[in-house]
Amino acid sequence: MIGITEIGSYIPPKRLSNIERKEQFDTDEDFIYNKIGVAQVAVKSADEETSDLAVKAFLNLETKITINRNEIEAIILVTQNPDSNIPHTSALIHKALDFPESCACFDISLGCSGFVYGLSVIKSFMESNGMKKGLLFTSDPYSKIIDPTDKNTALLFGDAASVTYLTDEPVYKADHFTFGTIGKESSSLTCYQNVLSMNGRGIFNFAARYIPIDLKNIVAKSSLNIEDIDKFIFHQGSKYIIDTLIKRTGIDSNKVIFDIKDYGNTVSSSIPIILEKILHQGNKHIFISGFGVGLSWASSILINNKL
Amino acid sequence: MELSIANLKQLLANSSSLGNQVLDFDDNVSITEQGVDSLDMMDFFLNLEDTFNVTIPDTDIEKVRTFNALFAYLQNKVNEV
Repeated sequence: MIGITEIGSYIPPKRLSNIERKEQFDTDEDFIYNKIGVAQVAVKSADEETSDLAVKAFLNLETKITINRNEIEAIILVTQNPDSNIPHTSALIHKALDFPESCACFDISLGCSGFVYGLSVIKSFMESNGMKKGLLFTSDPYSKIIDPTDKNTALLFGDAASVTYLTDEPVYKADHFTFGTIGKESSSLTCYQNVLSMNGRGIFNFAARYIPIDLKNIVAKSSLNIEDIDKFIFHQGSKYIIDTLIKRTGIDSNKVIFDIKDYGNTVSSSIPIILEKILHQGNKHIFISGFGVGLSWASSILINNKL
Repeated sequence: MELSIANLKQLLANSSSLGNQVLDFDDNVSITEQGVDSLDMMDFFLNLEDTFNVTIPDTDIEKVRTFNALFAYLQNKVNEV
């Protein structure tokens, strides 16, 4: 059984303040704090690449747990902003961290649902190939594609990376997954000619309509009751979407984590960055749900293997 | 829910952080100009679509800025169904 053993992350130190940009975007502090929920966004330095962020996340992981790099058998990177189209960026991570030649590497092209999809893919890939140690990276720096004058995106997205260490002796196993795609609404979040474009209403309607239903479905599939879930980690899209999901699902708001005020919506890294903080707090069941580009979603219930 | 301006205002009160203040809004003045922000308007339109089983495309949003305009628009939509 393959599952999550530890998580590392990297959030670049540079910040862009939304408060300082409030006049530029004709908004106010109440809207920034209480609706967007992001006071500042993290921005990578100009010379940092997608793979560099991932490598720094791995170095952070190594401060928490001893890893023999020669034992890593699989690396998957979730990104839609790679260093370049060819080669795949996971191969560049492999090079930078000097992983063994026997290690499998590939990228997955997904946005905010990518961590949960990636978790299912790497778990299945490792189990079906008899592997014991693997790494799931997320690194999708949207600062590469954001129009700094676009209010819809410039105040929201931040740069970051994460790496999840998966082994056959996990802290959390993921037994249940749900997935979905509304391809006919894919134009709500696109990138053409290297510029991100988001129809906020389209994304909001998608998340507000589909994620509450998905939560019900996965709880039923797991044979758990919703009260059995100790923590809910939704993709950290904005404070407003999290508040809307709380309202539409009726779940206990004290169990829902929102924590991106100081760095922004980090796309596929948003869930693992939160999960990293609570990984060793002794929660029995953690619901995770990513949703966005595609429009796609993926959810899972993580079960503590040590309790 | 019966389609009426009073019920539209109640739906907006449920969506907006302004709450029951919106019940006193002028029916002929833009809802956003009376203080409802863009995110609360998104939630309001979503609830309208779900409540009255209609679709309000982005291209129609500019046509329904006041309660009177919205009421007339929804009456037409509901009659189409």
